[in-house]
Amino acid sequence: MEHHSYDDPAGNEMEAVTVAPGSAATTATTGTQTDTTRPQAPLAGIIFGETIYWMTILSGVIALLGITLAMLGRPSLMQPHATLDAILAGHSVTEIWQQLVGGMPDGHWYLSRLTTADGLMGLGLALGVFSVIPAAMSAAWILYRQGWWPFAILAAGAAAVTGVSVLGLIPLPMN
Amino acid sequence: MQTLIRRVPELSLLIALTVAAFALIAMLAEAPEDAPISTDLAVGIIIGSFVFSLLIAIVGVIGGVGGGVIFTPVMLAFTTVDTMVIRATGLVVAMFSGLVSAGPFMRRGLADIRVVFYCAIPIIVGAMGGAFAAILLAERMGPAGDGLVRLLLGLILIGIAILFVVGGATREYPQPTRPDALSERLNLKGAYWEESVGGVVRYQVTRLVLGGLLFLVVGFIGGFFGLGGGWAVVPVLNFIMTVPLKVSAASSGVLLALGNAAAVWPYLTYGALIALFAAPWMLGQIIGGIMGAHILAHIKAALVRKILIVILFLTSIRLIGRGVEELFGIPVPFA
Repeated sequence: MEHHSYDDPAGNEMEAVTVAPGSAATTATTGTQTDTTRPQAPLAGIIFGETIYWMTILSGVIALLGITLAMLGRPSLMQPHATLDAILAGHSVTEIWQQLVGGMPDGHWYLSRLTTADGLMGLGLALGVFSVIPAAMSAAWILYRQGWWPFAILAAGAAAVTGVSVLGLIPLPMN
Repeated sequence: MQTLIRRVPELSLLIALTVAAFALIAMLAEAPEDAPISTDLAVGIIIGSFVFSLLIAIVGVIGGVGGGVIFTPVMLAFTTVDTMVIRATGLVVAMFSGLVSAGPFMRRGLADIRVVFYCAIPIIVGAMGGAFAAILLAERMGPAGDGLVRLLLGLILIGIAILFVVGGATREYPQPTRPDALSERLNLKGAYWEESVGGVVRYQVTRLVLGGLLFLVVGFIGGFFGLGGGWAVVPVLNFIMTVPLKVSAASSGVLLALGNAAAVWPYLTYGALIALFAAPWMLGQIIGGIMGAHILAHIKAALVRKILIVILFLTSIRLIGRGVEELFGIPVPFA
């Protein structure tokens, strides 16, 4: 057996016992905690996870609405049957857009076409992907308040780099 | 399954909405007169994509690899769909199960938020670089680049499969080694409740610099091929940084979500993410991701990886065959 110490999220040092390599798991005893006590999930993690979770579910509902409207013949940027045919036929991205829309998309194209089925599906996809930014920012704030400032900086940095990508601040390498 | 649906009301609501929407589509969808494909085929593609995505998500979340590592190679190997469309959709498949599993994993304390944010920056930067490189290759090489992508991906998949075979389940609970100076400074230690043994497992994270560099490479490959990075995130966290397998698998999903979120935007603004094609895959990942995240807590993740090894080997053979055919014009019997 090997004894070692660890800190809980609040920074209190605790003692733990680890069994020999190859064992199914480790057990631990501390002054206030035994091996049958579940460790508490950190608040920053919970807020981060819940923000993403609910925004993703909302994005799924929006995308489902878009799929339904597209297939029921409501106004669409790309006619659904022709879109699927072009994709199955192996047409390139440029060919698909030229053939079905008449030109390539301009950045966040779905935002100006929210009344179409494609616009809703695009919004659903984008909202889910975007959810990591508010989630990381919230987690950064909580980590900072709890004294885990190096991780708060990393979380804010992750949100900032993703934000740069969202805003398209780095131009695409196109001809 | 019934217990899961009762325990997670939002899951039952999503499933009910999806079933209702697909039933409506199946009953009322009509093709215009000049439609190039029948409505039955169009509806079949939409519902089929959703169902496959659901299955891939469950396997991907439990195996901690994300869905991209199954979706992208299989689609590149067995369909005629354009590689950019596949890779853009592959990132969506890779990330949405990870996105939605972040809730349950963080709630349970299975995913380690500090490990996630430490690894996030290199994987995000690498993934963005990979996405830009993919667009550059498509612009410069056109269809010839497709053969190169297939060949390279086939070789990478063999490497991934070998990594899984060599790894095995011997590191389910890696023993703490002497932590490096950076992990000591950052105090990267953790503990989680292990359902399958009914006890607390504690761990010490180490080799942070090496882990960070590897995540930069993993991010680039994931962003370039639309694989996500789950196939390598788990091994790096588990073998290199000594994070237990279950925490690695759970943190991997969340990391994938962060890394791929940055990589998806260049594909989206380029137009490679075709909404009608990607949306059913996304929906399958959301529902499958919630299911997988709840199942993971109760099973041994190592079992699922054996299924993945077989899929990876078979797909890699086909990809290499197609890559050789397209690049060099040499006929390959299994391609």
